[in-house]
Amino acid sequence: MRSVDSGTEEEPPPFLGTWGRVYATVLAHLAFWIVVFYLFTVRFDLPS
Amino acid sequence: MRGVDWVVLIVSLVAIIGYGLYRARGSNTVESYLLAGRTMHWWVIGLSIMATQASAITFIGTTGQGYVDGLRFVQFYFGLPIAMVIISAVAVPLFFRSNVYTAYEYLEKRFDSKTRTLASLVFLVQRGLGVGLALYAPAVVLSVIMGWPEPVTIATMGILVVTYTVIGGIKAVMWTDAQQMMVMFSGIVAAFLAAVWGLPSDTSFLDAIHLAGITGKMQAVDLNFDWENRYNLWSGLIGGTFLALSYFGTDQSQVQRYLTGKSIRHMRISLLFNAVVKVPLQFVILLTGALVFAFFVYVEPPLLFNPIERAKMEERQDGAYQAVQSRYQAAWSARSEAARRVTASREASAENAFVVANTELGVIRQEAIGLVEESNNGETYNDTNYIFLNFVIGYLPAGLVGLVMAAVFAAAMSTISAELNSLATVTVIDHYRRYLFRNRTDKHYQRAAKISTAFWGVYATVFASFGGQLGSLIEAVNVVGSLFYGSMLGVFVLAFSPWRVNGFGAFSGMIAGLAAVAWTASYTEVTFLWYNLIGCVMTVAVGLALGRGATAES
Repeated sequence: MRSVDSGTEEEPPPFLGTWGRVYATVLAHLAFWIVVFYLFTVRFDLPS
Repeated sequence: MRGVDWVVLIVSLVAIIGYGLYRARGSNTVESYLLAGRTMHWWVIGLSIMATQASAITFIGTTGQGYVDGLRFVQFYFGLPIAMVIISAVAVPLFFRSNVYTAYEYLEKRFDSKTRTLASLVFLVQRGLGVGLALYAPAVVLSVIMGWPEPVTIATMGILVVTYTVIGGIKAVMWTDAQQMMVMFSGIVAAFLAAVWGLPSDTSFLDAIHLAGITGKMQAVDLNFDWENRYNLWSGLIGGTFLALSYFGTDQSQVQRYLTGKSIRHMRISLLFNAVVKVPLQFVILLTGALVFAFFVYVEPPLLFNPIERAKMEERQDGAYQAVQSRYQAAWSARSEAARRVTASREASAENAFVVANTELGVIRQEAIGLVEESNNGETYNDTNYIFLNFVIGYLPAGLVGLVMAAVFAAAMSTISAELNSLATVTVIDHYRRYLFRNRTDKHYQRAAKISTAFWGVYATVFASFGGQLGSLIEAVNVVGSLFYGSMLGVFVLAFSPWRVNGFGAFSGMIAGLAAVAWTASYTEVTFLWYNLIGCVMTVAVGLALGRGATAES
């Protein structure tokens, strides 16, 4: 069983330096897709 | 299915299960059996989380939804990345440091035993009802499509899943999940390409999108807010976030996946991997459904996609179905002709003719569905789940049919195995070890976990075997299952928050949250995505009002 005092929780993310930046990138990625889908809707959705 | 499809299907399933069992060897302690010794890498956890969520009905129903309703269902997933970020930042470090086996065990550390017991019982009821359905629902569809008797499909899937879950524990479950998710990815890509290649040579991909668009199927984002509209940007972002927080943050069938992580970093990345992949993946699945719609603009689809119901209707002596069928063929020909004019000229008159013919086809299909429901004593009939598999079986090349069917089986088994595994874990850790047999050996609890897994597997198989006789109770089971998440999330919000709330407050809050959601579901028209928000807010409010005191931890 791993130790409660294990220092692994301090491990930085493998990219972008801090977890805050990783989270911001994930949310920006979501925003990107929403914008893409919105543009897709504007371009192709022609409600009958 | 042709011979090569059977070979692909059987080889895929045997290879996946064999590899899962191979990776699970040496699971001889309770921690390795239930938590893989907390050694798993992020990519296995990430794929396992995705496979657990993607049930067979999700897989085949989502493409069917894309066919019928277009892309708007993708908004349902907009809250998922937000929830994953919150869980990664808040819940993961707390779960990791507390060294728990179950999410509910954490509630006892934070509050008291009765809160833990209530939450774990809620999970057992909710997931216990769900696991039978997770086996029954795809078995019905697969039996119809493959021409197998329902008991054979249920028994085949049940025996396979229970065997590898009991023998290999969570390592077998997660390694098979990972392979199964890869098969699902392949199946989705194969179906997408087949739908594109199946279009006539004079119809491009953009023409197909245009045709789907003029029938309103390309609305991926709806900015209008409406409490009663299930899928819009706001219900997806707000309601979807609460739903995803509840499912991924408090449901043991998901929490147990990332509790196996070797470090906080692996746990977090597995969740963030899902956050990044899930939304575009769902878009592709729905778009595949919309392309199947475009494919069937040029190839006449059956009036009813379920071959058994179709055969029953064709045998009717009163001519009602045949009359609907001949009107259907005329409407389909008119739509197909209009579609060719649309792709040739993009004229408004051609587009109008296409839309009118498509609406007429929809009305006629509803009439046919009405005839099925009438002959089944008014029981609700859903033809949507058969659309995608009809396309796969009828129009995909040899080999790819077997691959997609393997993906459907994989989707079913990955969900069921994770549910059996988590049900057994909660049964043994939160009840058996907590109340019945304390301080026994590690071997004793591992044996109990195996027996518990087998018990839940047999229960699920028996439940699914009687599924056909449950009728509308099936729908009730689905509804009941969706009522619990909000209060479960609320109690975890209290647990993870810095607020000083005692066990009495958390327990009372949970009861109040359950009551609030039950009232909302019974007496209002509010759509289910908001139940989680309502249950959560009520639980937190009552918890704070009644429980401002010392916590168990303090």
